[in-house]
Amino acid sequence: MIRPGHYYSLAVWSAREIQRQAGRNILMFVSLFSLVFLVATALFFSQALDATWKQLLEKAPDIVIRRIDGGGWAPIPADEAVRCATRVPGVIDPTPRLWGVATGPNGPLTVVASPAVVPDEMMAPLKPPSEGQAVVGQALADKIQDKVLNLTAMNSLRLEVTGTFPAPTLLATHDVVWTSATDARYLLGLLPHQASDLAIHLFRREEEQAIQADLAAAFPWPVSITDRSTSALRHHTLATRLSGIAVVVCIPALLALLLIITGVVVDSNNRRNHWGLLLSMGWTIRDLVHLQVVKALIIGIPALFCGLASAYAAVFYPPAAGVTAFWMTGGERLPMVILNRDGVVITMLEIAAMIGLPYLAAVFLTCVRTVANDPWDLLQADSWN
Amino acid sequence: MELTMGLLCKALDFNWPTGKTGGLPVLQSVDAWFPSGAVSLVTGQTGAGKSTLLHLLAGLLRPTAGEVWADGKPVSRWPNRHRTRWRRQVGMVFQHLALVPDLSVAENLLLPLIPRKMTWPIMQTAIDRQLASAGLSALAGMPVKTLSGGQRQRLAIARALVGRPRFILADEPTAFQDDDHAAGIADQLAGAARQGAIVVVCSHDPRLRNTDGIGQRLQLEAATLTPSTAVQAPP
Repeated sequence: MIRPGHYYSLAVWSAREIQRQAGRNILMFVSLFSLVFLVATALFFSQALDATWKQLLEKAPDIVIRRIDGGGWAPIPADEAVRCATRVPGVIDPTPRLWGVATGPNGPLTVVASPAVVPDEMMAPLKPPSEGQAVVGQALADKIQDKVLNLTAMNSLRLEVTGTFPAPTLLATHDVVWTSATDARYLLGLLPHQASDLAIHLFRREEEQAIQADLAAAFPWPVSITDRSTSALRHHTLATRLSGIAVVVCIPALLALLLIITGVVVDSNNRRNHWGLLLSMGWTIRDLVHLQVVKALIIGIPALFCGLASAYAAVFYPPAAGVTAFWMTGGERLPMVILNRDGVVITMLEIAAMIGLPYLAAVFLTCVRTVANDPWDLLQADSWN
Repeated sequence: MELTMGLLCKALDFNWPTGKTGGLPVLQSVDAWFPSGAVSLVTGQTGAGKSTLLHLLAGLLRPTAGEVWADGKPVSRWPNRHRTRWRRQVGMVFQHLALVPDLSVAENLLLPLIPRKMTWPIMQTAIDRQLASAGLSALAGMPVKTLSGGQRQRLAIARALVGRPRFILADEPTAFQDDDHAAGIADQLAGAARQGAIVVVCSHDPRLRNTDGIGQRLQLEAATLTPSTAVQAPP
């Protein structure tokens, strides 16, 4: 049985051994840190984008129905549309929505009378805009001067900006202007009984494809139906692209890992006579393996945590987050992303499996393989003079 | 079976597998008993196999035939993992000293103590005592590579003795010493033997051969070990 004091002695001696080869071990730390940083950044970003989209889509309706005519999109009669939708089995909570596209100071914007896609807890700090007021997305807020926003659609309107959507909602709100229902109707040219579209939730979400024919037949005018899958398409496209980037990042990372493992093996071979000496003085194979593993952990654990912390900062904290987003997406403007606990755990497990285990396995197996030789052979492996 | 204390060689044979000695055996049918409480001196010409005998006694090499018994235990038959643990009872002075040059004097003495599961204060006490005994206290923090040959050899002996081992095996322990230090080393080894250790010294140094503290003199010649009582005059 090994007492805790023995582990303490081994840990102290491991630290001394690291100090003996400071340059080599600093290089090992930097290599591991860089490797963890690169891989974790790609994984954090991919996980965070996924989590952000999932959170935003959770609040989105299952199906959106829009009325169309020969001229394209047309306002929908709100009460009649609700009655028609309710007749279709499986439809719950049909809600007329007021929204449309207006021209702002820097181009087109999305005007909404209710930012339903934003989770309630994120909206809590915001006061709903009264007539003449507006709440705007982060991207827009940066470009507005004197808190005055001039919008033009069917009519023109001058609004006072009273708030900004929270940063975590940027993915869905970056170009959104939230106004009162009265202002939205005026701006978009809608009559009091009209809405822009009808948002529907389904009793069974998986029926979103099957129910579309029944819905189309239930309305007395032609409609265009958009389901959640279509909304999620952009997310999947981006997620696929990011997964591809993560794979591309991992290829040189795996080569770097191979070099690190080669370094461990070479280092082990260069110290054969030292290990033979220790064996001749009563160190057991177990002691030597402990020594090497503790050394690897003293270098590897700080490298792992520094790499993860740096990757986390690079993804979630500006201005580094902006640079990372630029790198990961090739210049596309990106929202502030969120990461849930599962995402963190998954990323840490992936890093442990991809980098931690091969590194520790290389240390362990190389040491066991070397010290299992006869001590006399090890003692004679190199010159003592 | 009677329990024999000390180190015992029974019909010990050793050949290098690669024909290093031109097919001639290094050791052949060696029967010897190295008792506790006395210093056993093995002499012989260079290349006679003295170092090989010590390495066999220390469990660093396996005999081609025959056995090495330590305090009634057949250590040469044991698998590697058992012998490494048993080696904690062995203090070995190598002919090439095998010191770690970039470590300090005190750290070299620490190396055999770490696997012995001692606390730091006990290790520190043992190191201080051994440094004082070897006359190296003032050099405790110096890297070994800065020491002279004689100082290095005294350090190698101190490292073998620092854990108070049961078996002390010394290969040419006085080769780089002046007469005073050679006598001091002989006293150290005799003192360890008096405290109950089994001390086997291989040397062709006539100063050791003529020391009073030697309990048993053996001659290794033509691969066999024979008692030798002759005391030689210094050259």
